[in-house]
Amino acid sequence: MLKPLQGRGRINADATVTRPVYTSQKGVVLSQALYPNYSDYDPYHMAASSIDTAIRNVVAAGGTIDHLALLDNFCWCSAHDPIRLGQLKRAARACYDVAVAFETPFISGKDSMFNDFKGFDENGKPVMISISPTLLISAIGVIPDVSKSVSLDVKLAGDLVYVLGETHENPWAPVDAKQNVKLYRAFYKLAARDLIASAISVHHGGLAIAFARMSLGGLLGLDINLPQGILWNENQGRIVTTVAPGNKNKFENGLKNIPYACYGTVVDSNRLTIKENNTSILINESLSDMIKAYRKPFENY
Amino acid sequence: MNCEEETQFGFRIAGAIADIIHINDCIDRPRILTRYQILAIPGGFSYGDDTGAGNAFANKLKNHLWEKLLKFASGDRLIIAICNGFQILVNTGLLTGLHTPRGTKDIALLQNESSRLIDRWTDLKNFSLSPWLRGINTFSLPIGHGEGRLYAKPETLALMKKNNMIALRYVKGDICNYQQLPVNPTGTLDNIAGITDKTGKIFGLMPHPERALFFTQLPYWTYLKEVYTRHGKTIPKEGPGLQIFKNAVTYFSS
Repeated sequence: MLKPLQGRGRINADATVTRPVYTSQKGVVLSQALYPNYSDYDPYHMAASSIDTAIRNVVAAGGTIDHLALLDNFCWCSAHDPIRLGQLKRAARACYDVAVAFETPFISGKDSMFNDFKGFDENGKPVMISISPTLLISAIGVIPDVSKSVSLDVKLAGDLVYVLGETHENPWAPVDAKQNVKLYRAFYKLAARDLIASAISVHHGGLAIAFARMSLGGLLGLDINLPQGILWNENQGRIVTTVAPGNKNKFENGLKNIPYACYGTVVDSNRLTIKENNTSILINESLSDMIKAYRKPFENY
Repeated sequence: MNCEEETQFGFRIAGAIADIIHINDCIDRPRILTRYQILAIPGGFSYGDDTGAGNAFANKLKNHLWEKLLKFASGDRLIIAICNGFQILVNTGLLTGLHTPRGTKDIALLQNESSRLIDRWTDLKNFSLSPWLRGINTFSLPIGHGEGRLYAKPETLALMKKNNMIALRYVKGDICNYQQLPVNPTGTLDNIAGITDKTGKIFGLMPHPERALFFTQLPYWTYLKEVYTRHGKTIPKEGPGLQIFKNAVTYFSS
């Protein structure tokens, strides 16, 4: 019901919704997440982020966190190296902590170890190049009614653009599962009441990429004004949504005790405009240029 | 084959009793076809598309079920062949059925111009009086195939046109406008997406009506949902493909 490419712009989605039993309205929501480059900082944070993002991707599509399971896919390095094993231990600890906090069980998984290249450099000296330890998390959940699925493409000019969840100054703000769960449950209820016009989970590239993808999805411009310095932060626990102006009050009333902010509107233009503090212009791009760049890797296909 | 369950479901919600029967069982039970009014050859990848899509299955039909199949087709019966099913019937010569002896293959469904399997939705226009397409003018259905480029010699195409056998053509419509997609996805001759035999009762098409039974299968249903909701309109439950199945049931029940 929600496919891998969504919207007018056919943008890659973070989750899909499939309806396997034709006589039922229920659907299966499937998503995934990974952050290989976070392991240089801390494999615990890498794993925690992958789990939170995979879960949030399901939630942003309309899935419920209360009927959701996880799969782990460890892509790791030599199992003989104590440092690598230590990193693995930290990642496993995060798996326990976060899965228990969200009450989302790990039902299966796999691992691929020894992803190290051992060879010689151009001077003939032995060299070992290892991947960044990576945990790929898949999340599989149930949505009770597929007609409540939410796609990432902005729908109509005039819709309000909200960022749900708090954007932190610290780029490595730890994953706060207890806080995030509140947002994920509230979002599910709002989606079930048809109050969400579009939604996208904020992950790689932060708000900048989230805005870009949903704008390209709907091929409608956005007029955004942000506070200082939050455009690229990748901290967890945030969903960008658009809401019909007529639903503003019902929507905001559904977000008690959850940080949120309205940062702009969907506009009937070919431009993505993001300002900071209403003064400096951070992003001012035409959607036509952006979609060309987005599709460039496959332009000969 | 692949798509038989959805195809069966389409017939069932349209009001038919629909059974999935393996071709080997059809061959083993000679009288089985006489029990039914509609035959559907669904989409999928019969024999893994080895030796060309629909070739092996067509040979099986011609070598083991041919008389029974011809007898079925000669009665007041309906046959639909979807995607791989269409490829199969083309290979048996039952579509077009224009040339003798019966079973002469006179058109082909070639590899798409792009040499790729194309997976997208398309807009279609009905040019036929076939019972399968009653009440349908323009609508949208998904395609997913690598070999759907119809080819016919000019004389054959002329004969098909003369006999009103061109059923569906790809046109510019809601889907092409929504996703800026080209009208003809595969380079198929004269934009042809589906044809019938002379009687209109044997219908072959590349698009998949069984993948468009529900509103929520449309690629832009979440957009339509917003538009309808804000204008106080009811959100439909059915998809554009269901009408084809309903038409088949109506043909026998009216």
